[in-house]
Amino acid sequence: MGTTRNIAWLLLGVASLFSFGVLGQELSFYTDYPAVVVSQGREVSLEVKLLYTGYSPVDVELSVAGPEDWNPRFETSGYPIIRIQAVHLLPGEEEPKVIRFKARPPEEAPGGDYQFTLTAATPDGALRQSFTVTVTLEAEAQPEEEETEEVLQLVVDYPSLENAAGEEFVYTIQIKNQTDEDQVVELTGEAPLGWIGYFTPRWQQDTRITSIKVSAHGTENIRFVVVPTPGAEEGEYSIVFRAQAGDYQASLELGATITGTYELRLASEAEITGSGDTWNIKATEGQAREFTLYLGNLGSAPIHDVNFHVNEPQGWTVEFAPETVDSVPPTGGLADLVKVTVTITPPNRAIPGDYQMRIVATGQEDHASAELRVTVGAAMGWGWIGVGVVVFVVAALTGVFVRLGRR
Amino acid sequence: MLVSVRGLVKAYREVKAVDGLDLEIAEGEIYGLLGPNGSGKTTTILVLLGLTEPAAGEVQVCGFNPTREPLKVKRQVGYLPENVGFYDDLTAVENLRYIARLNGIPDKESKDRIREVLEQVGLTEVANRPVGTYSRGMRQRLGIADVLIKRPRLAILDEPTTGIDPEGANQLLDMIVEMRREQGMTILLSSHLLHQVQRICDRVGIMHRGKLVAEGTVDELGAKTAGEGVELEARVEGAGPELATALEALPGVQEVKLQNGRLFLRADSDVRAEVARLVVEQGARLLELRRRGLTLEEIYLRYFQG
Amino acid sequence: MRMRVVFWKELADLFGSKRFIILFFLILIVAGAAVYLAGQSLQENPPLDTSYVYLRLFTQGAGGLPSFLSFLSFFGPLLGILLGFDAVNSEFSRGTVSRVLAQPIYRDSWINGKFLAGLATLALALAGIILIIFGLGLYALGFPPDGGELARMFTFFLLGLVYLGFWLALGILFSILFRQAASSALAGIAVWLFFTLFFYMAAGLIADQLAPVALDSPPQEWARHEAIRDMVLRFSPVTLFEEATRAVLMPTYRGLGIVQALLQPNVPTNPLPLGQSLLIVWPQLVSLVALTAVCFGISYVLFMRREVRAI
Repeated sequence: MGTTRNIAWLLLGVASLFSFGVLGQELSFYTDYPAVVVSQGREVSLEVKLLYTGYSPVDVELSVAGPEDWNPRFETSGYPIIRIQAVHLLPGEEEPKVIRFKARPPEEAPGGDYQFTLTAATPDGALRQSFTVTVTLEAEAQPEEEETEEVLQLVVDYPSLENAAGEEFVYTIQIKNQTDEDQVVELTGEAPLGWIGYFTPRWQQDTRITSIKVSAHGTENIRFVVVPTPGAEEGEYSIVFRAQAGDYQASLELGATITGTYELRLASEAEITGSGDTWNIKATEGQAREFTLYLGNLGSAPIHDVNFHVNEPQGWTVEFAPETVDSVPPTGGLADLVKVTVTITPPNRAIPGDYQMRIVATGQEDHASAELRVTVGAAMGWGWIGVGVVVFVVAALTGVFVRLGRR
Repeated sequence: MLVSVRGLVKAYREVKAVDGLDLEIAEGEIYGLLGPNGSGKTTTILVLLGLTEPAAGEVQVCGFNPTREPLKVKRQVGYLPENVGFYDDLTAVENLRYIARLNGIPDKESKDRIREVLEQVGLTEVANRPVGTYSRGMRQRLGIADVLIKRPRLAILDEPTTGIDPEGANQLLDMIVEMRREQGMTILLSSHLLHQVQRICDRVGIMHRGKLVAEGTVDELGAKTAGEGVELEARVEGAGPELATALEALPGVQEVKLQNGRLFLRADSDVRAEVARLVVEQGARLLELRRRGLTLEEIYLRYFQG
Repeated sequence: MRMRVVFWKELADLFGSKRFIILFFLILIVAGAAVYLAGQSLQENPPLDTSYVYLRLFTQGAGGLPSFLSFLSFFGPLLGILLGFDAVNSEFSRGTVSRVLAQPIYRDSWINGKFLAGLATLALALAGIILIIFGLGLYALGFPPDGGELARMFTFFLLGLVYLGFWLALGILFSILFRQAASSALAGIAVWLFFTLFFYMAAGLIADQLAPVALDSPPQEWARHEAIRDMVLRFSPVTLFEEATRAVLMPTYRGLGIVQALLQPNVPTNPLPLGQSLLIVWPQLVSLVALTAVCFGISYVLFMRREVRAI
């Protein structure tokens, strides 16, 4: 500050004294909490208010006097947070303009009281107000983690998920911003090698994001999607989710358990070998007919204890050999298929025609079903006897006609 | 007696078809039952066969009562109904075989018999044609065969010649006479045609309103009716009242009429010789002289005109 | 017995007659078609329960054709009348009656022989048709009927024979009552139409008079209406036959009408043994046999008292 400036300050002081007495106070500069306590490592953040009752707009310069190593400064109170040195005030404002005073105690600073004098003044010195804030520094240091957690809080309702292989894991995470300011939170994660992870807002699942803004004391929900590698083996995996906003950061341990996939399939012989029976077969009443079917597993893990059920029509017998298949391995090749022989016996008095029956294979992990159509043909033995009866009767009647009619 | 009927009465509703009939037929006879339609001939025959029950009277046929033992009678009696009917779609042989079977004749035996009787009635050539194609005369002859097939003791023929031409009728009558001659069958014949009955019958009974009004041989009947006198008819060339007067003077002559050059005389006895001599003596030419009133027809007419 | 001779002769006549052959083959073809279609529909929709499936060949209509049973109950009378309507009067008009009766046979042998010959003809025809249906069934179904089915089929045959026998007896009765074969045939056809067509209407009208019902009447009144109608209907041999055969061919039938069945929903529906089924329709069976007997009895008496001469 130069000599002329000091002179100006003097003049301004006179004028202000005058005006103070005649026109009243046009500028108020104050805080609601002139004395605050802060722990070591934590920042002082105070709302400071400016109320202007003048008739023409003015620029007010801000200055602070106090320990320089605390890095005292003024910042805007709302978003975007920027450091400021002057405030433009308009006449007729009823509410005070709120700005924020911040200061961070240096790590080596000893506990005790520190004084900061905050001043707001027009460049011509016509209006000038100042006040003092006393900051009491508490010496004992708080563990840092807890501090950050408090600042950036992560909540997940289902931290451990279980899924079949090939399926993605989706965690819904709540991010709470405990600070007094809006924060842009960077999202990162750690997953096993080869896995893919991404984030989306909760309600916009098509939008992939890498950061999210969380307003002061606000909460945002995001989805953390983790896609395992296609060949991932079953087992438990851990995933770490990290959120970082400036200096604050938080992390979550998440669990992902991959279980095997199970997909039981029934196939007819024709479907497997290209020849043999399809799902339409012919049978003769009263005679057992064998039908071969194959069990396959398109999943990743074996299916156990497969039993068979069939809704056979009344009087039919349908038997499966083996009755129970202990395990159906994932199908890698023809050798993995399990062959099952079905013996179908229509009753003796089955009427020729088409019969539909549903074969259901039920394992512990999955089930499959198929429709089998059995076309029953008349037993030709009896059919010929029937023809014989008709022929005989016609012949006998004709004989009677001829014999009796002609005498 | 093969047939004996005494006091037979049969009424259909109020009408008495037969009213106190007495009739006797001896074994081996050909008996003619004469009478106009509705005089009770057919009813009498049906009673004889046991096909109709009489209201009163005693009937014996072949020693049995046909009402009580119809089968025994029917076994021995052959019957040719008036307007005999056959199964038209069957052949003659088949029709006859049926009758033979009904009579209990085994097929083996009936085969020969059928051939035999068909030969007898002259139907051998058409034996295997359906009867529907037969003429009336052939049917009638088949009817005779039908009677013969069972070799009856008594054959009852009801109006056998109805509806056939005279030649056919004559053949049939000859056949009937043959039947009696060959098999010694008794024959009861009903007819309203007199000359036929007259030709073949040993005895004749005349029925009128259900009663037998006259019975006897043809000659006996003639004599009976002639008991009242003899009628002569003469055809004389140049006959005049003088001749009639002269004839009237002959002894025994009761009456003389002259009509269209014919003279009709009635006398107590046969005076033909005297009449002839007189006519010749009178110088007239006698062309014909015959006795009238002896034929059955004349007798018959006499009954039914009265 | 000379009756045998008459019997065989009449049997031959009946079998040889063109009208019988025509009608027999007509019924055979129609019945065969009905049964064939019934078999087809059984194959298309095979019933899960195959017990008594043979009987369904007789009772199941298909493809727009009524069942064989319906054909029999409708056309059977025609066959019976056809065989009987000129049995006696034609003999009179042909002039064969006196010639035949002059032979050593009893009169009743003759009429009995005629009736029995007619009955035998009907039996042969009916048995033939039933056997053909049976053969077709064997061909279509490929398995033989069981004992119960055979017993019921045989019972059905007997029933059908009695039914046809009634119409034969009626035809013979008319052949005695009417001199002209044409009048006799017309009378027979009139009776046939009356019982097969108009009697249902008549019974409905009588029931309407005695127990009027409206659409909103309570079921009890409907049941009464139906009961009266059924009672009247039972005067018809057609109804008697249909009810009796229903019991024989449908083992679950318990003699209940539609409304009655609605009123008693808890009646079991399992099949009954044949004896029980017959017991249900015992009155119908007895009535049918009695009707036939009475009909023939009247013919018999009339014929025995008939004057041979009264042509």
